[in-house]
Amino acid sequence: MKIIFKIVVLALLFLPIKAQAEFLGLNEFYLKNGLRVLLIENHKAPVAAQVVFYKSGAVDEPAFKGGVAHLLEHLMFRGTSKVPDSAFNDIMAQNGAENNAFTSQDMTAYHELTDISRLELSMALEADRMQNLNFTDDAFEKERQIVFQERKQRISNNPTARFAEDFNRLFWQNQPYARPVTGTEDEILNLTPDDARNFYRAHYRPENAILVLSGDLDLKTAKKLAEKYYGAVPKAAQTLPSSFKMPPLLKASYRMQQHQDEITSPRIIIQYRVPSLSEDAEAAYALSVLESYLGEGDNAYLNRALVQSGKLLGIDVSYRMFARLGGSLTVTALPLKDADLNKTEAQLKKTLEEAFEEITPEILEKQKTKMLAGLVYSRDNPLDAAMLAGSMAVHGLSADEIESYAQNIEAVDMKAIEKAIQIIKKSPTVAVGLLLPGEEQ
Amino acid sequence: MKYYKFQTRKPRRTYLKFIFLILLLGLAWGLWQFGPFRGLDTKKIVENSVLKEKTFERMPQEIKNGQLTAWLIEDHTVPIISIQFLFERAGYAYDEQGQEGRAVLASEMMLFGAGKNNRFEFQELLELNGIRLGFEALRDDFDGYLITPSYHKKTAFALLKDVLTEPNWEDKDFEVVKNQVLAALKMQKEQPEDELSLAFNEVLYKNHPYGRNPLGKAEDIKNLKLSQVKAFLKSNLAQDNLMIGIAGDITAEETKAVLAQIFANLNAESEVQPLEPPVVDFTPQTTHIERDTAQSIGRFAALGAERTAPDFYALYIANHILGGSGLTSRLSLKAREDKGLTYGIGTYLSTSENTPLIIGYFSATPENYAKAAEILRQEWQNFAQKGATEEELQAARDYLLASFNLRFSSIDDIAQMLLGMQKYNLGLDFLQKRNTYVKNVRLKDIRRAAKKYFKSLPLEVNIGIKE
Repeated sequence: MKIIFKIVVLALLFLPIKAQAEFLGLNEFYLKNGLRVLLIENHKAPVAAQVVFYKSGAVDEPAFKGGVAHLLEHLMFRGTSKVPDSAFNDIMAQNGAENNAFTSQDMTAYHELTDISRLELSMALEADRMQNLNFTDDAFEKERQIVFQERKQRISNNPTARFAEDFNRLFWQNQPYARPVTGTEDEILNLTPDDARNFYRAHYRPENAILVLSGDLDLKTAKKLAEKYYGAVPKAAQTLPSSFKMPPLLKASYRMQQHQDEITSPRIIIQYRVPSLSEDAEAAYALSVLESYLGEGDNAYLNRALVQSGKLLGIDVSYRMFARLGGSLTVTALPLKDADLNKTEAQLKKTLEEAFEEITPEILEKQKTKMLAGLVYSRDNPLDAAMLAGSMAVHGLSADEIESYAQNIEAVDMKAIEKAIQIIKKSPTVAVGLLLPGEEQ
Repeated sequence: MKYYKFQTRKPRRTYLKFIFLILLLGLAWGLWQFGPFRGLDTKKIVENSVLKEKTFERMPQEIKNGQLTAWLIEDHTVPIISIQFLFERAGYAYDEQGQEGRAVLASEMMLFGAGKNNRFEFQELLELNGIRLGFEALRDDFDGYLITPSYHKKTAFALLKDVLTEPNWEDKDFEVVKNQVLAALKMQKEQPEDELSLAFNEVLYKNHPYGRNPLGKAEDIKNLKLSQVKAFLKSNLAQDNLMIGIAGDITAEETKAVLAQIFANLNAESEVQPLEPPVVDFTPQTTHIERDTAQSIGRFAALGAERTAPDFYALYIANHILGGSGLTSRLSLKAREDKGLTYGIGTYLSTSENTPLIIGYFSATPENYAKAAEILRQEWQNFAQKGATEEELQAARDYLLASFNLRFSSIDDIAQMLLGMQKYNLGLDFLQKRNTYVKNVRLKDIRRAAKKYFKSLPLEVNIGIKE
């Protein structure tokens, strides 16, 4: 008895660590039509977020129809047979919702943050446009113009975005990831209303969607409401179009150099092809620990060795862990004013080697603690939590797998790290890009 | 004959028609009720919703300890604590002449070591405990935040105390930071949007400190010494210009103790002198910056209302209707929905002290720019003359009432709100009163506000290719 009591007390002492390990507190269930539903309870304020993810994005577009996934996302606000024209936005506005949508390479998502009393309304509207989209050709034309302007504003008007688009095209060659999410200007101008309708019919269906509810409601209510509003959405008659198989990425290394008038300080970018979570889960968790070790926070290895020591102005390391068609690891550096770029690049690569050599079991443990220390924040904001859970679920993770994120990070040992380092070193495709000031300068 | 037949049969046919009509109506009604052609009855969905309306009923507590005051909302849903604070008149506009960039350098140096910890050790403690700490030199105020998992609060509070009063900075780090700010200054105009922001401030405020580059002056930054930046903490961050909002997993009693622990070592009084308010010439002129861009960007400004002005809520709703409500605003409906001229157009209110503004913005390809600008002006003028309609007022009110709870979505939002309530003198019971302020605005108030604030067209600054 006493011993048991002691154990209980000891267990209580370790409670904070356990509390950290709980990630989002997810619940998960499926409807008969195949719709997957995730619930994150949070009763802090009387609000709720709804996000509907479709597991289709720009990479699922037919050839020469670049931008159709994104244009369709816009058209989803242009009327259904039950909620005509722009009534969706009017209704949402009058009910105080914050709502929007986004399209990425891998997915398209629609989100609403509302007062709890309006959650059912946003569910009714989202379920309606999952099955009843009905925009006019006139609306299509207007929305295409808006999308064209959006591309001009976001890409054409932004020198670094233009460079990123070209660099991406070089790195991913003939893979779908090489294409911009917005489509090219020509592609946008050549899309037809039927292109958008076809994409809608093929991809917007319950078995290709994930509904995330997050906020001031419990599991029983979530089940009841999901069934009430989404239960009747029919499965599509045809099977999902399979994404076409691309020839594998060439084993090659590339160099690219681009001058742009607006650029005043050069950038160096090095990108490695490495596996994403869906390609190799074990490697992915180790790579994400490495990403954090190299570049997350002021004390990260590259920050200390290069930025704090005054050898670079800035550095960024980013690993694309969640990517359906394949991951990548990108290091972007901001060289000092008037630096010799060849030397800077060599130094960057050398420092990277040193970083790999110097990682020890103690450093690894510390790094993992750092990564998990801030995990508790993910639960605070219902919309952020829903976005996080949904984007992980889109990449095939079950609720349990999402919940065990912390355990998966903790499980990364030196062996896994060494393997991940070898993966980076032997990366089949490596590209180096230089973005430079305009030639006349 | 025909005529006679027609005469006699007429009543019967009408009767049959009538029955037929009734049947048809019945069928239509049935289809409407149960069939696939019925629109969504949104009102009914909200009325019948099993999840009923609730209010975020919490009244903030005012916690005092000596000269220090904080407003607190306790919430134990997630084990985190957010402390949001600001020092009034410690922003970049208050840098002395010849030292432009001092507040920014201070904000950048804040995490470079404090107390017995050097910058490496200090950063390590933040990272290992998941503590988020940051500072920003804004135009008027010097803002800061501390967010921590509550099980690491002891470490977090100790670190913040050290940061504010015991900087442990080194010269070599200062040089690195200086170079970073100088590089940022140099890269500042790479994006057309940012070049426009700088020009916009200059046009509005000219030689007044509000017209300064928010990052400072390269020359001054080069000349500033570490000791001068260190002195900034002592002279500008004090107890009498400090405001604090706290939310999360912490009790009132704890808060009281924490106030003394963290902030009591600050000087009692700040040494910063208030600024003369700027004199802004709102004559509706256009300033053009020529630049080869894919899209031209425009920004517009007119005089707005102070946050505590009696007609603030009338202007707030007026702005919402004209350009503040996103895709459903008048400007967006005309320029974006109807004409597809722009991806985004709108207006918003800036309530910064000394110069409240109504700001308009949009971007469009060069051939569309003039058309969109014309729409903005027409709608502006039209609004000044006619005000809003009852439906528009109702829609705006509905939005503002139904969206209020969203402001409490995260612990940070709540702490920010508590800080804003103090900054703008809204009172401890603002959360309870706010919906009444919104409900009390009548159509005639909107008309009056529209006439007053939108009477004159806004001034314009734009960047792009002149068509």
